[in-house]
Amino acid sequence: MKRFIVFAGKRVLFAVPQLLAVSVMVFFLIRLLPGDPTYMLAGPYATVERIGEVRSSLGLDQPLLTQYAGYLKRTLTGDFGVSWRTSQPVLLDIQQRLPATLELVIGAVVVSVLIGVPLGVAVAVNRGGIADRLVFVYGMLAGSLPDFWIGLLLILVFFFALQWAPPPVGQLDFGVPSPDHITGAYIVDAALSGNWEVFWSAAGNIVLPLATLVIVYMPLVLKTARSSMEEMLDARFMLQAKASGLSRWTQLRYALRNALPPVVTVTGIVCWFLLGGAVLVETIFAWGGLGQYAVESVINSDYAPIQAVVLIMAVFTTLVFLIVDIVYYLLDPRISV
Amino acid sequence: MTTLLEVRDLTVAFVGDRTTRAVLSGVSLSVADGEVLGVVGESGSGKSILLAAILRLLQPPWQVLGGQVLLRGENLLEQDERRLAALRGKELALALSNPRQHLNPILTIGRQLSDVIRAHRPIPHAAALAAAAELLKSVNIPDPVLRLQAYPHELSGGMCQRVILALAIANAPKLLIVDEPTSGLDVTVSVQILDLMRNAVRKLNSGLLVVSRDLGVVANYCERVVVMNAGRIVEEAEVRRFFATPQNVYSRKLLHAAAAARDADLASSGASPVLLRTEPQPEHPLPSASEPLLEVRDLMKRFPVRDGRVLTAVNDISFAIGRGEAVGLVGESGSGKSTVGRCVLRLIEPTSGTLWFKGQEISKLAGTGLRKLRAKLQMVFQDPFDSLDPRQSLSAAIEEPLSLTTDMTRGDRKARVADLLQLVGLSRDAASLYPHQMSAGELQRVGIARAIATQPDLVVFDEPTSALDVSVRADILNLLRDLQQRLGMSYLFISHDLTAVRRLCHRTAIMYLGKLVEVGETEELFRTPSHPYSRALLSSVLYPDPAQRRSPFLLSGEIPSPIDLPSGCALHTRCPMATADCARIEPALEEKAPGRQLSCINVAPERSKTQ
Repeated sequence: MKRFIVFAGKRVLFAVPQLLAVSVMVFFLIRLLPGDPTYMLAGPYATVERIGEVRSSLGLDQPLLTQYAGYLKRTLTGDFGVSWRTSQPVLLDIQQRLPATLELVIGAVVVSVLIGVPLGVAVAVNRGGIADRLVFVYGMLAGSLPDFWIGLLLILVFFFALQWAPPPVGQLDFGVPSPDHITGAYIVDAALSGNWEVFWSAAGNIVLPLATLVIVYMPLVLKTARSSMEEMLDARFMLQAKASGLSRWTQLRYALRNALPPVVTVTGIVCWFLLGGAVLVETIFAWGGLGQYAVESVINSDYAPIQAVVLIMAVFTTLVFLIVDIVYYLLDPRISV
Repeated sequence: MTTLLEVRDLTVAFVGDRTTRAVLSGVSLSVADGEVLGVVGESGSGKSILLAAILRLLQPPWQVLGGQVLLRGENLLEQDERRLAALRGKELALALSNPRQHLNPILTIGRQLSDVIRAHRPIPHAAALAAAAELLKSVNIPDPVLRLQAYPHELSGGMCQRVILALAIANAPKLLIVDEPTSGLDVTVSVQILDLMRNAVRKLNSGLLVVSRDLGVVANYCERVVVMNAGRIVEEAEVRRFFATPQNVYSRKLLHAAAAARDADLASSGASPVLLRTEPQPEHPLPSASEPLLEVRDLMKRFPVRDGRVLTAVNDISFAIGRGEAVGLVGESGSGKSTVGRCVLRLIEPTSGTLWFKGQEISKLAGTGLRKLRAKLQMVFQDPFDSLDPRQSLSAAIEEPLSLTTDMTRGDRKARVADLLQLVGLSRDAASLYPHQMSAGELQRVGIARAIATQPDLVVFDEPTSALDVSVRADILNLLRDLQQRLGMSYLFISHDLTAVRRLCHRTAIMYLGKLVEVGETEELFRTPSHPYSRALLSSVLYPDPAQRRSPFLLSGEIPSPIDLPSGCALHTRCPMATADCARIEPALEEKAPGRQLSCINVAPERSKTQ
């Protein structure tokens, strides 16, 4: 236990320089983007003096280091600037949209793990069966089809042809009011406030985008679970375990415990992929989340939100890998600090 | 004695897509209660398949095609998985070698033992843990309760092997099956494990089936022996009769090969060594000692490890090698012997101490001086594959030292490479081959050719034979001996293979935990080892002769960590002769008899009696 606290403490401390590095990268990447915001703000007919004034009001005449310090200070206080497109503070925009994206990403990860791991294990145990071959074909297909295409296909089949799914217009059906704001994620908020009409509407609307993400990204979890489990079932220590008369059930437990660490690593990577996948899938389903916000900001050259979204995604990824490392430590005693 | 296990006409085949090939053909054997049966054979003889078939652990493509495996009359081949799970571990148990790979890496030792106990006895986890601690104690693991919390990677190989043994005997099996019980373990640990195993089955009056390549294990521990070759049993005999008068041609071949491992002075009792020449040891008298070729003074090598602690690999040792002399440096893993070799060659920098080569101090040499020196001081490594560049042809590999350290012309170098290949017993055609096209034994010859290319005065061999098969090993040793006689080089021969050292070296130095404990003329030292560690080490050698069973002189436990060296004499924690003074006084290596140095405060060397 003490060792764990030491490890987790060190790992969390290590995340601090990681996050600082992220902020440096975001800051300089933005300055590498083509175009100078001074000219955009000052307009095409501005005089040289006017441009100078705008430049100094933006702080762009300061040395880079001073600019970075200012940026860091503003970021830490939650000041991400104002979006030209929505005329709202970026922080507010993000607060409204991030929960929707997290709902989608976390939902997709949970479903992928809940289906992918048991399925992968089952296939590994019954090698060469029909399920094994089906999974193989699925893995090949899903790996080669892009997510937006799967999303459109699902809309075509389940909304347009079969009319089972609601139209892809966002998180709720037309005319359904948003639930009281608690976490910002509609399904969670509706459930918490006992608003079942909203809950079912939100649940129905999330099915297709979630399915799209799961279909595309679950194979990574599935394949890793399968190959890792297969490897462990064939491991030398399983021979000694079997020869000692351990029950089939205990043998499976031995193999599974050893097969889990790589699955955890891949789950972290999937989280990261999903964040990217959400950008396109949200656009298709008009989800109104962070991904869609990012796309619209890029199209409209709205720099402040881009900067904020990139930073948030980077922070999210850093946190995911922090969690992965800590879980990995709990699963594998061979990891040392 | 009633029959416990009976295997009748067991036939197992490798069933491939197109072909079916028999790997066991009509194998029959039996083990009685309380009996120890040895199954010997070389790799590929079908021993491991036999084991797996008995325990019903065969996986496709291997299939049992016929026969019976009767455990007290119950045919195991007809039982379902449930019944088998009930029998495995309870009635017949298996202890595998390579212990680290055979333990579950992410569960504690206690958990694994408890799982195995509870698979056969419905007791709560806490009670099983208490039983597990008792088991660990019975296999001589210190602090058993503490060790329950340990993971396999936190234990040494010897400790893991003890844990495997504990797993196997956890439910007092009627038959214990052991696969290569000593592979990968140091000799002083091996004999402890073997003793534990035998004592465990004696206490339970169980049968023991030992599968091994090592005839020494069979001669020392088994009552009956079964010889396997190419999937058949070619001979079955009582162990003394087998070693005295083997009936089968293949058995005789095995015994002959093993006899190479026997001492010249023990040869009276049976077969004579055939793979190595039979002339008595110091066959080429040493040139009368003048100044030594290499002198090592107060050599010390320390490595910093975590948390500011220090690992002392070589702890203040001094020795000398004369011209044309072969000196053996022996010790178990962790003794620091390889580090000594590397320091001598300046492959790693000694922490302190001086090295003298041909009267010149070489411990401070650098640049050109060092490169020139290396031409005269060469090394042959343990793994012939790893020590050659896979993308370099063999001729290029052998030529490389020549072009680096001499100004020979290209033509001269080519001619020299051809000569060298011939010298090490390879054909000239081998020059254009690449490492992957050769066997390990051939590659080691290349390694030797490369080392002697520059006509060095001293060659350091770091376990040159331990990656090789037994028969190849003997060939390489013959070659090394030939070369030394012909070229008059000096050898520093680092090995844990005591028989190889005895064959090859004029003098032997025995190392323990970074210190030399005894140095002497090889034959004298092997006949009358004086230091307790030397005695334990040499008495751990299992000779393939039941008439020469080991006289037990056991050390307890295993080699301690070189990070926290014991105070006083490094051996006192394991030594059966240790007194209170041993923990305080650090003994110096002193000449206690002519030509014999010893570091122990309690013993003096016996005068060796000439036979």
